Amino acid sequence: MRFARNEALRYLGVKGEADDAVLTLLSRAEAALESAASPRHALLRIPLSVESEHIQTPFFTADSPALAKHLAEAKEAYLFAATLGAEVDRLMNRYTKLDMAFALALQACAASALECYADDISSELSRALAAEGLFLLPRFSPGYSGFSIEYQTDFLAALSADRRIGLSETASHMLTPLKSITALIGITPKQQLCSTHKCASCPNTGCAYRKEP
Amino acid sequence: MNIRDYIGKQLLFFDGGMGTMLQNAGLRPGELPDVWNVEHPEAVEKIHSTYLLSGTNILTTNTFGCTKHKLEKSGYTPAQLAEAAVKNARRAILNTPGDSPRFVALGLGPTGKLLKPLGDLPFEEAYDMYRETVEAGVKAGADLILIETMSDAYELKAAVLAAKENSDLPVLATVTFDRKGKLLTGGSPESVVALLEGLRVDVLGINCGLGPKEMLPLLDRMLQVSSLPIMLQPNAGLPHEENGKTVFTVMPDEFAELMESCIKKGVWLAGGCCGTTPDHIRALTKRCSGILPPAPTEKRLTVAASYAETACFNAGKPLLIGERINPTGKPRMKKALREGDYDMILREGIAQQEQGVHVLDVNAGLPEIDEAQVLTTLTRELQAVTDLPLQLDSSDPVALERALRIYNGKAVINSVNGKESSMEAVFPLAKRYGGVIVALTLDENGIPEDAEGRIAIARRILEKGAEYGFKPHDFIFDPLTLTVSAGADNAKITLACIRRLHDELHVATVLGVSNVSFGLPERKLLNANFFALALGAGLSAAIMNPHAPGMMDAYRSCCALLNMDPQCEGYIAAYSNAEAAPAAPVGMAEMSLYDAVLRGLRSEAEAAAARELEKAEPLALIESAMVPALNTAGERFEAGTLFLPQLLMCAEAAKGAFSVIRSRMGDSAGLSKGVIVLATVEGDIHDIGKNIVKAMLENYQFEVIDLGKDVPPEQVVEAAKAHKAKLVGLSALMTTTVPAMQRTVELLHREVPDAVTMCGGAVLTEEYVASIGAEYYVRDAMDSVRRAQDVYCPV
Repeated sequence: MRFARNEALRYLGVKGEADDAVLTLLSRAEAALESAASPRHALLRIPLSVESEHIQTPFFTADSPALAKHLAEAKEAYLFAATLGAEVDRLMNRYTKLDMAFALALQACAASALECYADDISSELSRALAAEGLFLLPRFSPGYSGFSIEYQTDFLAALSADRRIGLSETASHMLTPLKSITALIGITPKQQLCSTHKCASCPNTGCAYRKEP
Repeated sequence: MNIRDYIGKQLLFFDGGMGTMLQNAGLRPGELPDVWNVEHPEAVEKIHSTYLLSGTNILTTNTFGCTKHKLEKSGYTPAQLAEAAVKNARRAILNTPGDSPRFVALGLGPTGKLLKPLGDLPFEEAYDMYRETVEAGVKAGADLILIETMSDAYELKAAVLAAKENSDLPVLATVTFDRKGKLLTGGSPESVVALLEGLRVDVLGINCGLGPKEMLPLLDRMLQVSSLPIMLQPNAGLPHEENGKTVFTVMPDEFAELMESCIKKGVWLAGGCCGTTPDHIRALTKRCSGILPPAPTEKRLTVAASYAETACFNAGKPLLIGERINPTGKPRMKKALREGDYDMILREGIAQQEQGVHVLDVNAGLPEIDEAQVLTTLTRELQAVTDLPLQLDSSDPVALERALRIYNGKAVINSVNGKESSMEAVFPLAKRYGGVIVALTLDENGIPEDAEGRIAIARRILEKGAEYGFKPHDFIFDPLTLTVSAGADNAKITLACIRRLHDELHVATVLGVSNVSFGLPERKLLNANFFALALGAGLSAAIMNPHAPGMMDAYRSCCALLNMDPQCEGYIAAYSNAEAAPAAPVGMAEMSLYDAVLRGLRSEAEAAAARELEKAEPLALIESAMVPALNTAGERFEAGTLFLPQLLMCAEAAKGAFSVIRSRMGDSAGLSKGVIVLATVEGDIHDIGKNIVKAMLENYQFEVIDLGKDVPPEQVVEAAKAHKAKLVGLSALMTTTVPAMQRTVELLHREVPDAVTMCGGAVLTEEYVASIGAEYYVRDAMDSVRRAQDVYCPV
């Protein structure tokens, strides 16, 4: 499993150089996650069409200006879901009772590992698509600006995510296990220059976790 | 003919995949296959018919997604679709010529939801979802029930209970493993077999997820431990994508060849799952019909399991059952149980696990509490933080039943004894929910004085148990330990019983070791040495305190001496550093409590607290060292020179020191600065922020009532009223759950006008919090401490 220390430190709110105590804590958390996590993912390549603000796919239709703009050039997309598995939730539950500092470190390292895992799969897909002369857009998830979180239901059903990777949702469309994501990844015939970082298009500019430009 | 006349007597063939067949018949992407039972019955019947013509004996109904949750938007109820599905299969059998035995299996798949505590589906709701489908399927004429593609042990248990409690049909259950042999939510072939055999299914096995080749090693593991006929429905190999389509690569002839080797190992029911077609089944039946697989053998394992781990009491090595979760003689645990403060108890469970116990005993027997409710909650909470199997310990059959029902796995049941009334109360529970039964050798006349009398009771328990279908290996006998101070032969009699139970009755044994020393000085010496003698006599397990000096030493030594610790590995791992550890350097300055807390060093802080308590009163120490250290840490955090991880390390160090200081103070009442109710609002399951705030508030001596996550507004109000809390803290991490925060604040203002609210969470802003009428927006954990101080200790 791959971790991104800098990302974990950003989630933890650590600015500047991290001291030894924090770095030791992160190493322990990474080791614990390494044995608890079972990263799994599900993918489905689907056709789509975009007309002004309307997106049409075989599994759902949506009216979302932001997503429509994002997918303007796309004719296809991957439906994508990934999870680190239920054992990670159990590990975090356990340390919430025992040692909150470690529980926090687990949380941050798991979040960074999930991002890395999803990024690695995206890179793999990109390489495969290059052979077809196609390119991949950044991931766009239900719950991102104006694309309702209710689409989790359609994503999970289309991917049979419960059966294939043990991923499901709560009544309020939160993913369980906790360390999981779903996303739509557009496929385009030409490369698009995208925002320099993942937070750039998010309207919540006051967010504590926002990446510096 | 009844299907029971065939299971385990001749090889039976199931059908193959349904999904792909439906797609070929016109099922559109996103369309629910189950709906076709009503809207295209002829198409479903035709698929069934094709499978029958390929040699299938047992058709699985098209009901994989037939649960309330998955059918929500379909306009149909699970009962409607299940009924139609059974009728389609029945009609196919009627209309398709053939002379082999043919049956209809009502198929049940996963609910599509994750059960609590990991998800939000309560166990009993999952049960109800399955019950609805089972009732309809039985009424429509199904011959058996197939629970399939299960990847969560807890959901599997709900489905099996629903099938068995609402029908008399045979129940077959198959699970899906990944390549490492794990269920998607954790769980192994061994833990699944323990669970399913405990629940008394008729057949168990593996389906989906893998091809026959990848299933082979997992099949081997199941065959090692299972005494039941095994069923296998692999995919047609591992899928890959070709031009946007999922493709399976194992062709019919190869599939049949691979399945033949599985069948010859002991598979009695064979079929296919994803990617398999009537051609696969035809090749399979053609190649394999006529094979008589080796009969399943009785494995005689005395095995308990959690959702993931097993504990086998007759596999050679003796097991340890941690006894610490029991209020007897423990004032702090009594208080925690009475007040529903489970954190301390959960920590005790984890601490015992870290000492090396294999099973945790759980006892919540206090006269003034609702034992059934507390034992159930405790079982659920413990299973959220530990994967050890539990031993449910109660003399109240109602408490035992409720805890056994919601327990995720196959528990140890503590206990039954030779009294008729005891056996009549406990045996039906063990039969229904599964479990290894601890049996005490006492009866209406008390504990027999000699070994002969105790062995006679054991025999009687075995006889009575057999009437319920229990075998000797379903029991662990406790011949009871009496103190040697009351009878010189007491220990000798107990040891003789251990030997005779082992040699004559061939059953596992257990003892509560420490009773032997009651009334004598230096109990630890007697306890550890008696434990060693009992292990030498063949004891299978001990109910013991792993923190008690000498007990783990005795255990590890005996395991090494009695060849139960290969290459003395466990012994060496535990003690190889003992001699090498250097003594603390003389003259090195010991760290002060203030420094240890500020540097976030928990064990140093605990040691310093103990040291400094020799010179200072507890309250004075809190004022002179703890408060200043926490204040400094808080100020540095606010100034941005110390960050959240370090702040929490300080909090953990302080928590350790406080528990040392409190233990010197007796009852800590009077220390609390005020009660604060905390909750993550309804719909939101991300509670890390709330938990951080809780840790900080507790450090500053506030009493926190933690309601957890996904908490309805009414529950927050109820808790605020019940605890007379002046301050309520609410967290929400997701934008979609922020409206739930508003509802909670509004209800609080209406119902508990005296309470003020503070709200926090990554997506909140000061303006938003003001707009929903909450008094305080808190941006981080220290901020919430400051607001609590404003409310309870204004300067």
